[in-house]
Amino acid sequence: MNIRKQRFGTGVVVLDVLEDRLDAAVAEDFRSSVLAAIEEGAGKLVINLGNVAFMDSSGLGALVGCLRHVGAEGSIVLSSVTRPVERVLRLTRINRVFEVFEDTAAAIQASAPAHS
Amino acid sequence: MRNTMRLPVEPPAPEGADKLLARQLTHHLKYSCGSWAREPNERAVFQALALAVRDQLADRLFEAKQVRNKDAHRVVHLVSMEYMAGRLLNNNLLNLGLRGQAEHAVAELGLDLEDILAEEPDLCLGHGGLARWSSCFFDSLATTGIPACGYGINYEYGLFRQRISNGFQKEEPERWPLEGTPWRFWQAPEQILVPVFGQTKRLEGPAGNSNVVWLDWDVVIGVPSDILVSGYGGKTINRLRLYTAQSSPEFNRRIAGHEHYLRAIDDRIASEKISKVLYPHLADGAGLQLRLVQQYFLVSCAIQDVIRQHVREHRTVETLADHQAIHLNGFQTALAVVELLRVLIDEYGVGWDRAWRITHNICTTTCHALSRDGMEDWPASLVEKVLPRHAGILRRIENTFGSYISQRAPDAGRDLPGMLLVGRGRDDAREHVRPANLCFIGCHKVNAVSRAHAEIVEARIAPGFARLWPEKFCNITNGVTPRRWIAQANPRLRVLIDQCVGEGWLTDPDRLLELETYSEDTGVLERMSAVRHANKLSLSARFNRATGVDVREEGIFDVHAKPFHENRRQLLTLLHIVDRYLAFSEDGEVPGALRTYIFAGKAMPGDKTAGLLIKLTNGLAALVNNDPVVSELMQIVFVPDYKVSVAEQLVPAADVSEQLSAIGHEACGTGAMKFAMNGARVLGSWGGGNPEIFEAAGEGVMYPFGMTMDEARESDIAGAYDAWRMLEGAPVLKRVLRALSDGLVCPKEEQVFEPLQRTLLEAGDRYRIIHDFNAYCEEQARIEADFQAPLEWAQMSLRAVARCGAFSSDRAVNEYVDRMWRRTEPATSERQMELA
Repeated sequence: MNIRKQRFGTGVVVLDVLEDRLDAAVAEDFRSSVLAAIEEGAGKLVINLGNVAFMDSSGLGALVGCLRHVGAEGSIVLSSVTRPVERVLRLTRINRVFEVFEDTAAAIQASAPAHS
Repeated sequence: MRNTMRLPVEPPAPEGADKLLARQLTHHLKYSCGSWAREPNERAVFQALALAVRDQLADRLFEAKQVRNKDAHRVVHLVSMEYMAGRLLNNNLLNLGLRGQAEHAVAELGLDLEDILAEEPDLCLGHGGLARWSSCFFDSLATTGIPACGYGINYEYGLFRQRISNGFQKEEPERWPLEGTPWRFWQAPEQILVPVFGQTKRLEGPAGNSNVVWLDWDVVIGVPSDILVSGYGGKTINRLRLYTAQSSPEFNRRIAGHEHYLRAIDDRIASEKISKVLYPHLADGAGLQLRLVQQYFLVSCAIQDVIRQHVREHRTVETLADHQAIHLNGFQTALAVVELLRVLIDEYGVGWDRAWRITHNICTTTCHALSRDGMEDWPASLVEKVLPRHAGILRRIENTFGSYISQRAPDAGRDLPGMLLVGRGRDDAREHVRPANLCFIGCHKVNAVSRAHAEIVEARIAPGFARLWPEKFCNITNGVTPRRWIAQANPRLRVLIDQCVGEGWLTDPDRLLELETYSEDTGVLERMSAVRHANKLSLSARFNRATGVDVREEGIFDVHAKPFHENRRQLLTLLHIVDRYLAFSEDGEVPGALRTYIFAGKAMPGDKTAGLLIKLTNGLAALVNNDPVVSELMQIVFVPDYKVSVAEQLVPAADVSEQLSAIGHEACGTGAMKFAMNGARVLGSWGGGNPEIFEAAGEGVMYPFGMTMDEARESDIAGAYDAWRMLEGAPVLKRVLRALSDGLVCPKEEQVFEPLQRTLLEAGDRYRIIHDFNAYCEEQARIEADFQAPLEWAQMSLRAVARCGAFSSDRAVNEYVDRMWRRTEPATSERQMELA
């Protein structure tokens, strides 16, 4: 799974998913990467899905599965969601569960403690 | 004898269209069909000609679209599980005014257009009435200029092909070759993602609110192909959009490697099964699940497509009800109500109240059902498994409706058990979802298809709803398109009508009434007789070729063309034939006129009684046609594989059409309208639309007989009808039944027809055949007597044509527009919408 982790001074960690598909083939790896970041203390996570052109129910399941591992003070938000992925998020109502930001900068700003 | 008559009048074709059609034909022969022979075969010419016509349809669709966008009409979206359009080429040629030019272009190739037209397979994606209803309406929508889109499933295997073996029906798969049909445009980029199965979970959102999400679903892809349908004159071209189910290679890519490859293929087969076979009416177990998935697949594709197109044009779903009307053909498409709510709420973030209001303002339905027993329902557990998200929405509708009833309409409490969306099933104690009630709650208008049917709907199907929301229920009697059923099927009659009243009737069928001014004109009446005689000659020639029966055209052509079923009462005619056989062979009676009984129709696979009726028909045909004495006095023909193109041959040649359905067992029955519109007499029961035909056309056109609606109601009271006692008063029928028991028909197959006799006596004669037998025979005798006065007979034929213009589907469509599809008036809507 090709995923890049960036830590920002505000305590926000950005995970850039560098795959074009988030499906059953990579869902488990994706989940592990996110959980590892949470275990390393990342309370505020931004998952940048700008490269992901396709997501199936396994990818969605992995995303939802990570939610319960975030502490009460933590959060996971999504950024740069492509249109096909946005369609799937809306179709399954996952967009009601995750905050979705147009770009990563906006997501970082919103996730920073002053704004949380 | 082939009909090669060139029609004298056609709608004007665009300038240069004749040369254009010939050029396009040559082009497609060469470049699309790869036919380089100097004398191309009929099949290739059919393909090329259809492609040439399709080109012109596409051009006109584009032109019409420029106008449509500015039009004030709501676009009508007809969602139907079934269509039965028949052949399309001749219809399109007539409607576009290209028939004469096509004849010329084909003649240039040394061929006859009739032979080319016969190459086309019927589009037969339905079982019967409901399917033909959609197709007639679709023709009328285009002719009356209503922008519309029809949604359906592109079944790979449509209705089965019927073959007769040893007198019994054998079913063979009939593959409607959409792949090879020249009409379709694949619209792969417009494909729809249909989620199915999975589970719902409640998760907390960022603001701490609780949200239901739909997880672990599978995906089926709906790939549309469009067939363009022209109205008469070619001014409006509408699309019939048929969806093929495909598995998603994208969504299945997770499966790699040999072991999983096989599973991937299994998944693919399971997905594609959805559009494989025209769904079975009698489904259970796995069949029930497939049927539910098929219904959901269609409505999901349709709803998503309607919204996508609307948003593309109007940028918001808020105005959906201003521009779109969604009509559900029967309760099989009831899930559209829930799917529309789901898409609005889940995908467009519309609040529940607003989404309900939009849905309710958009959706209307036609009820075709006759009893609650005959209506399907779905086990709630199956809905939960297949459509977990929709199950949640259904629960919310149910709760809201329950609150509405208790707060706003406490008087309806006694009706409530029958009105609930979820209730105990008919055959088991499990909870079942009732699609009919979903339509009654979720649609703002519900139509019954005949006046008699409206009474049935209010009394038996939806009594509680009819009391609660009387303004929701209406009756618009069905109709049929006179373009296909007169102009196309009966060109000789069309010529006569055109010469009498001009061609305006083709778009204004009320003008057929002007024909009555010729009712004393001997010249016209003689031509009326000549038209029928020529049609009978053509049909006889076809029969002789196809069945080997040497049919003589001079007698009465008495046609019974309907699906075979006990409640269609073919048995009445068959018992009458046995009586006539005995009278001619044993009593020495001689009829006043030769009679040819013509039967056509399919039985539902698995319906043993209907299968036996077909066997009895063929057995009687063998007995009668091989009897040297009786065959001079009557004949019987069974026409196998009844479908639209066969009906187009039978209808113009019939002197008498038998419409015998038992009271309360046919909602309308448009067969009578097609035959009467072509000048046939209708021998009919008092069921379905027959009373309205009697009212419109009068005695002499229709020969009504048997139990009335009131008598049927009384006889339905337990114990009021005694078949045995009734038989005591019917000595003729007793003799007929004895002859059948004694092996008069199929003597080598002992007691083969005993089950039919049991339906009459031991089973209590549910369809009142014994009661109606004498009255039926009396009317048959009257018909025979009347037939012997040819001028009066022609007079009544002319009256039938004149007065049955009222049963045009154009009239019905205009009424639908006025009473159902217009933007709902807030006052009516508010009252019903308080449900939200």
